[in-house]
Amino acid sequence: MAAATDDAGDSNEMIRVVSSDGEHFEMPEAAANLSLVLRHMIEDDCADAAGIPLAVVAAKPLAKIVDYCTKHAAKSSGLTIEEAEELKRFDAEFIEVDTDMLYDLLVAADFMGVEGLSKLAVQRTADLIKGKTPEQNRETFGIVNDFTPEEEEEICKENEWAFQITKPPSRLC
Amino acid sequence: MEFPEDIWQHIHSLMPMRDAARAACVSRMFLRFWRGYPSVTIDRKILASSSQQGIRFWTEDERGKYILTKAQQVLESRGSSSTVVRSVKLDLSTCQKVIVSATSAGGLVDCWLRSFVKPGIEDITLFLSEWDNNDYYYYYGHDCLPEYTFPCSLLSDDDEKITSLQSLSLSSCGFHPNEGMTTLLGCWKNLSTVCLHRVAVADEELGFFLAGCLALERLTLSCCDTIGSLKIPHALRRLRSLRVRSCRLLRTIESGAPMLATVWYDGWPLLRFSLGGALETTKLEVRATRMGDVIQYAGAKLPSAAPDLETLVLSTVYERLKAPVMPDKFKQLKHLVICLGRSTVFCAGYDFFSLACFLDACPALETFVLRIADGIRWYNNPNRGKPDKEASWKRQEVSELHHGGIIGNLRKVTITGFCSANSLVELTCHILVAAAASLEHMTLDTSPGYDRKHTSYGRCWQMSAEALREAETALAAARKYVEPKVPDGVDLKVLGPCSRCHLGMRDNS
Repeated sequence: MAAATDDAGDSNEMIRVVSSDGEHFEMPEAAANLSLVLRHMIEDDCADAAGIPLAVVAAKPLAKIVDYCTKHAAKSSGLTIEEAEELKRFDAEFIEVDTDMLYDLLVAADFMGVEGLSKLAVQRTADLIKGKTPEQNRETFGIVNDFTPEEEEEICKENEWAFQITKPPSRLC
Repeated sequence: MEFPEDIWQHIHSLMPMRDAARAACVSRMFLRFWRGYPSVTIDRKILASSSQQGIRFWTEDERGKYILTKAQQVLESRGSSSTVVRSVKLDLSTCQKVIVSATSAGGLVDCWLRSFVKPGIEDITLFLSEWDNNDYYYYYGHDCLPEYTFPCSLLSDDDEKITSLQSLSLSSCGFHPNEGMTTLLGCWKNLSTVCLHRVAVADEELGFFLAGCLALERLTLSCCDTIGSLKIPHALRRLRSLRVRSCRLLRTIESGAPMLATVWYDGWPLLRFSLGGALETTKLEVRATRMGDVIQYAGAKLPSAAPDLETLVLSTVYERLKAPVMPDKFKQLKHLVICLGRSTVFCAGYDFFSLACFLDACPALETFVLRIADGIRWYNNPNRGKPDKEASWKRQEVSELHHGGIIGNLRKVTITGFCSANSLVELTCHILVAAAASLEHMTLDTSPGYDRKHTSYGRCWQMSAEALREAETALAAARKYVEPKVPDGVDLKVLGPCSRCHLGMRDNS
């Protein structure tokens, strides 16, 4: 536990980042290091007072990402089981966002190379798709149905098994 | 707002197969992902996820038909794709044997495997139904061999050989690779994990198979009742973990694998157990339930067979404890953990003090942990129980065996389940003398071990009422006999039962 605090405490340096819409954010160096892109920039001495510009990440998702990284960096190594559970709870609450935000987070985490967040967002999206009808999924994620009616019928028939509710056994015999 | 296709594909690959199939109907892009969905799984969930409870009331016959129909549908919907499937899992372990062994099902399994096992496959899991209980009790042995044999020939068709396989898990089927199948050579060369459960395989077949598994890292065998002798060749240089459980006919385990680090054996006593003469590992953990001579073996063989050993964990349940004869010393051993399970017995005349021989043969030791299980039978009075005159003779032998060595680097000693046996007190005092120059911390814990309590809910391991009574005697013994001998500068902790978990329990009972 002590080690974890020390690790985070060591890097007092704050890293400044700038969102695509010009907002400035600050986070500890340990937090920035969770992003592959930022880490490389820091290693190459590109982190200066002006801040690292992130051309494709808007302020809203960036604020969330800074939150995420700061929280995770503070508890990086030597977690007790309680701390690990607390972090898990944090993740679960953190990712309870609407689909627009989820979408932004996915793209931003992918761009910035924040592996933990990428996984979290990808899993959340997969969970959202699960158990929904194709029509509901198209609505949720704004996907256009580009099948012809014939194609759609065919593909639905092929994957009928996945939609089936277990039938009474008598009908199967 | 364009969602990158590769992210979508990644998301799709993470979904369970049923949901992935449903999503295929969303758009052409998703249909493409589905065609390339990298794994195929048929298990209880796929077969009956919508109303699992309902299926229990079906007759076996109905259920069998349902399962076959459903499996066939899944097969057809996936069969049309031409993508490389990386993982195939077919789990029929919850179905009755009659269903699975029916010809149609046998054909289905074959058809299933042939459809998806193609170059590029990395993971094959095939769990057929467990034995019916009746079969198991009435017929035992070869009469009751599983009927389906895993088709090894899948991996080596005439035109192409599959060498991509990394993990193979089989349950309740036959597995018969043999030297006649020359085309199989090289097929196993990338296998890193092999798990066989209730698999019928002969010794020489297993031997032929293992000889080709040059990348094997983990081998698990359980309930394989046809194996009598397990021999692991030296060429398996990456094998780290060997777990063998409940193989009834197994009498010999001989491993030559040089990097072995974990050996778990749970089964009948073996006639021969050997980890070979050339272990290169620095860390070794041996856990055995019914073998009676793990400590003997480790003491006699490992110092010369594993000269680089730095950490050794020996955990036994049925040890027949006596002073190990140690012709060589563990020159590098720094950490030693010995766990004595509840069925440990002491050979006539021997007692806890026998372990002094082991310690004295570890000149570089830094930490020593001894865990004594609740319920071990030990005797204080030489006239009680077996030891009699012979005892004093044996004690003399023990004294001669241990060379009065100095354990010059020993800094930390922890004994959990500390009891009031004279011989344990004696062992403790022996350590205090032998490690007087270096010892910093000694913990005598009369509970089953605060250092390994369930942190997830903060409770200690349970203690029986008898153990609680014994703990009080042990505390007194530690204070009376050990404390006065503790040199200055050594931090001695004598721990009683936990007031919250253990004493609270006693009040309730």
